[in-house]
Formats: sequence, structure tokens, C-alpha cells
Amino acid sequence: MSSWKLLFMSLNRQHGFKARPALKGFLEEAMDGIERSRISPREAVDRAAKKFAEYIEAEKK
Amino acid sequence: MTFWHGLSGPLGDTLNEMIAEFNKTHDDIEVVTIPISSYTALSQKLMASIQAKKQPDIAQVFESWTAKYIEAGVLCALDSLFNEDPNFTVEDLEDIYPVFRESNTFDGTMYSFPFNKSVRAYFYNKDEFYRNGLDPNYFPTTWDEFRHYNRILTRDTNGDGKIDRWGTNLNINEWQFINLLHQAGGRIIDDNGNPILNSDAGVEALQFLVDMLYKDKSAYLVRGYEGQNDFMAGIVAMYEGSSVSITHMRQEPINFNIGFAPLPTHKTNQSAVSGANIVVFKSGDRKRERAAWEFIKWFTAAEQTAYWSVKTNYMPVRRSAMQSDVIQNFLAKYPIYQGIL
Repeated sequence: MSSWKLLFMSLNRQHGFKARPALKGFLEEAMDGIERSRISPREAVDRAAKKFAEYIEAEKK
Repeated sequence: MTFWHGLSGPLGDTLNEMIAEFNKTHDDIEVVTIPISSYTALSQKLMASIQAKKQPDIAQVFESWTAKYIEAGVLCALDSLFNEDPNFTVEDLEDIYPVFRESNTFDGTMYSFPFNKSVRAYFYNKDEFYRNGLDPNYFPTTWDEFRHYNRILTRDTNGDGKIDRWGTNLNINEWQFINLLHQAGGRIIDDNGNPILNSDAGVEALQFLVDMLYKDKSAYLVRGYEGQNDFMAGIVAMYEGSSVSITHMRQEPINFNIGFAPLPTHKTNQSAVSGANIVVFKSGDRKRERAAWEFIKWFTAAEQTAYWSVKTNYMPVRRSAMQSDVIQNFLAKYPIYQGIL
């Protein structure tokens, strides 16, 4: 089992430490977008999820 | 044996006190602690030590670090150590909370043991509750109720047209969001590792925060320790932190009656456990590895984990510890801790 698979498991069960700073950053960006540009929470979480997916793909390589 | 960890302040002091006790009661083992300034520094130092093949005997780690160390083949499987220990029984293993056993088990093998585990909790100013006509011994238990309390506690007390007392403040972080997401019925990723935090539950979690910030105007954003400092200064009535935050808060005088409570819940009452675990690195010397296990077994035994818990507010890792005299006497003396221990 790869370390990323193990990390995913721990993300859902607890949350993997390595991915935490990235997720925090994406959430901060989401909130910043809501505050500054008045984007909707839907758009904000879509952006956060997209960036988190890109981060995970980059880390897998 | 060397033990690298990232605990400092009152947490590090308690750890040192307990290790001194272990060394005093174990003639043939001496644990020497090496405190590292932060978890980030600890991670970097451990990685460098593995590359140099000079890793410590024991270290405090997070799950994702463990995953990497397993791949590198540098960890002792702890179940191989406790299976050959006649003084560690199946009952002992099952006494450890299932969530801790599961999060330390990788592909069927237990490579780490729970060490310092904590949950998110609310700290609140009972005096502010009383001043606003709220029962100081009751904390909201649902999102809706929390939002209602937040509106009541947000006030302009001197009539200058500016809010000077707030219900809460928000330090946007992944731990808080993960809790809200799960409470709304969502998950961060699916079983294939794809992010699904933008589900309807994710929108609901974010909307909850946004409504308090911009619709109710009963919360404000903070960074770092601003939130805790404002709570200590009486500016904000309800503050979300780690259950261990109180150990740090107690370093300064607290000039109001403080209450602790579990997080309000929504569709589910799920709350993510955080905190670190402990591993034994391979040394090629089984006697040394057994000695490392002996320390872990001692530290996580009911008596020690109970003591660790009442001194630091980390969670006890064993069920039986909650029934111990140490914890029961502590909760009888300080019942407010029942909300977070």
C-alpha cells in the first residue's frame, strides 16, 4: 500500500499531517475569496477542492 | 535510548517528569529525551536522521510520517514486540480506544502507538454568559443554537456604534473545517483519494462560517494566537481550540470563570482526533527494541495515561484509565473538565 493511500485513509479517519498545511491554505484562500470578491461558498469549496486535487496529484509524482 | 519529540512548555515538563519516573523504576533502561522546537523541525530532523541511518530509538510522529517510514522500512512493527511480551495481553490491546488502534494500524500491522491525542473543544466565558442572561453552566449543543448564542453575545457595550464584545472568532483551519464537514455528513476525500470536500455538506460547512461572519456579523477572522489572546482578554465569549489549549492558557492568570464544552454538532456528532503517536525505529538490536517497547507500554498503561491526561488535558488512550482513581478524583474536583477529557 502506498504512503499516499495510507495518508488518504488517515485523512478520512483523522487527517494526515502532511496534507494539513495545503488544505489550510486552500481554505484560507476560499475564505479570502468570499471576503474580498464575495464569491459564494459553493464556488469557494469548488476552488479549494480543485486545488487540493492538484496538490495531491503533484505530490504523487 | 533516545526519544525525539516536539513537546515544550508545561507539556514537555510533564513528559520529562514522567520519563524521570520511568528511569527511576527501570534499572536497566534509560530514556534520554531530545526535545525538538516544532513538529516541522522534528519531521525534518527525523528524515535527515533516516537518510544518515542515525535515527533515534523512539520518536513522536504523525500518521503520514509513519506511512513514509513504513515504506522506507525503518520502523519496528509494534505488534511483533507486544505479541512476544507476556505482560501485554489481548485485553490490554483492546483497552486502547478503537479509533487509536485503527489510526495506528497500517495495512493490518500496528506500527505506532497513540501518544498525545487531543480533540477540538470550546472554551467559554461564563461571566459573559451570565451578563447576557444565559445559563453559565450550559453550552450550545447544535450549530443553530451556537449561532443563536453568538448573536446574543455580540454587543456594543459602550454605545460608540462599534462592536466590542463578540460571540466568537474564527481561525480558518483544516481541523475545524474537517469537523464541520463531517458533522454536515461529508468527507474530505473518497475511497480512491479524490477530494470531495465540495459536496453539499462542504458548502453547508462553509456557509455556516460565512453566515456568522457576514450575515450575523457575530464573528471575526483571526490568525495565529489572536483568537486565544482575545478570549483571554474578555473580548470574545466562545473560543474554539484544542483540548490542550487550556494547559497553555493556565500559564497566564484567567480573570473570569471559564467553562469547557464539546463542539456543537449538526447532522452527526463526529469530531476528528488529532495529536501524535509514537514509534520505535529499527536498531538491529532486538534487546534495544524491546526496551523501547517497554517504555511505550509503561507510558500508555492505565495509570500513566491517566496521569498524563489530568496534567496536560491530552486524552487518555485507554478506556480503563477513565475509570481510574486519578481521573475520577480529578473530574470530581474539577467537573468542568468533563466536557473535554
